[in-house]
Amino acid sequence: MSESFDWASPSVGEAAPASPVLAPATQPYRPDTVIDGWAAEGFEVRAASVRGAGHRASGEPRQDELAVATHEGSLIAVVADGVSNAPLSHLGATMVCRTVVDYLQHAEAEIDWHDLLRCAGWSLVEFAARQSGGEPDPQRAEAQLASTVVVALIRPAEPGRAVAHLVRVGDSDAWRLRDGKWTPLFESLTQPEDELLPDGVSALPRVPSSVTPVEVPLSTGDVLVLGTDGFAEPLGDGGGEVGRLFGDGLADPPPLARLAWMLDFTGGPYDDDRTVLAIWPT
Amino acid sequence: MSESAGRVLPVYLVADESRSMSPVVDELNAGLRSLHDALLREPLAAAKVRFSIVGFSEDVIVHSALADLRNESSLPLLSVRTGTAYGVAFTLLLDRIPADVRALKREGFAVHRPAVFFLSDGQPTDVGQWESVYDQLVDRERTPTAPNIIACGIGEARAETILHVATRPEFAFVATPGVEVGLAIAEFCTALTRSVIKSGQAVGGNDAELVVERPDSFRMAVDVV
Repeated sequence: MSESFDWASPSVGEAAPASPVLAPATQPYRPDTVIDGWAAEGFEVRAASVRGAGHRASGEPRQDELAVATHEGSLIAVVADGVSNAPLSHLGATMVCRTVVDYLQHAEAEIDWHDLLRCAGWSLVEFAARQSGGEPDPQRAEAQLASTVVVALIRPAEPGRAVAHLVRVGDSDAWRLRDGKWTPLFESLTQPEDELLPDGVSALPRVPSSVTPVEVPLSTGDVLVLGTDGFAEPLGDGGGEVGRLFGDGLADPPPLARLAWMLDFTGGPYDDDRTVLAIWPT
Repeated sequence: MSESAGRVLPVYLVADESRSMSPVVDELNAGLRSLHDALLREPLAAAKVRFSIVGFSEDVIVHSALADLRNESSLPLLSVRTGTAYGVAFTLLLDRIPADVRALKREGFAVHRPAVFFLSDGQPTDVGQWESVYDQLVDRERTPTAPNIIACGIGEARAETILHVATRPEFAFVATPGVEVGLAIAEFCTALTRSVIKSGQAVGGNDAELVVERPDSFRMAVDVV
């Protein structure tokens, strides 16, 4: 083993103050960090979800979640971010990820994307009803479990090529990374001329009235990256330190733990949970 | 831009400094000290807040402006003077908030909608004057940076006045008769601290609609998460 590797988290920007790392006061067990990755016919996948310094210091669980699965040669990738103000949103994020995977594994070739998101939203309503033993109550589900989501379904084309379809609710995001350059795949939620940040994040169980997936062709050398706002915000337009760190680090599929190590970057004001799910067509 | 300087929430504590506040001004100052202590214990949260303290009576005094509380050794003390003219406080905010947001954006910050914590123990002495400037302050058409206002009334302040000042009914707090005023102030300061520290995400309305009916295709994927 190399003696030279420094396992201290990479730092970006101004050094962050040391802050405590407390056990999350939650049941069931929810790990601080999740690491995943594998290769399938036509794809290589790496994923990590890391609790941010804010939740570590306050003893709250990681509210980000991810899921990635294969289905008949396609790849299903989901990233979700439980809304902070909803106290059980970490469970909401998990529920959403699992429902989306299940839906797409049972769907017809022609996907009804609006129905997919409605079902993911409804899973929160039913889950909240089971928790409380009461009738389905969308308002209560929103107050308890609200979660953003970004979904990608990637179908292989010829070798080294694939086509991704993506939808989202909220501020979780997706990019195509090529030669260190980050191209956002969704329209920005904020405009430079906006005076203020949006007053809140839209999240399941709310679903936009119409849903049109973004279609993205991928070829060898492209990386499809999904991420929560804990990654999107420090990434910005990709031209800064975080963009370079991940632009270099994801040029090729890294060793599994390396992505989690990168994602645990410290510094600046960035203390949110962060999740990255990266896919390489092979 | 490349990386933004991060997100900040401008918070304005607007406190009544009329003579009648004399018995409770020490407790209010103590509440501010504990807010400051709480933020120093959570530097990551403190980094996302810029704190201004404004005192009003018949005139208005800015005790601190857009302070990064991590860099302040102590908070300024509120004092007492004469009069309770709400209008001077809202006029100052109307002038100050858009300029503050511009200044923060020039520094590279993305700015959350400002939050005003308004505390008064009396009825306004400028009835008929404060309402129009207030209307302009909270009108998001005329004032794009219009703040959310959380209002707390103690002593002689009437519930209907505090409800008028708060930008949402749930943002209005009126000390229940019989509750010790010091306790009400402590609760107000606790609410202030909590919301300043938890300034992060909230569920926000947009055109998306709640799913209110079970989709036909729905199947419960998992029973337990």
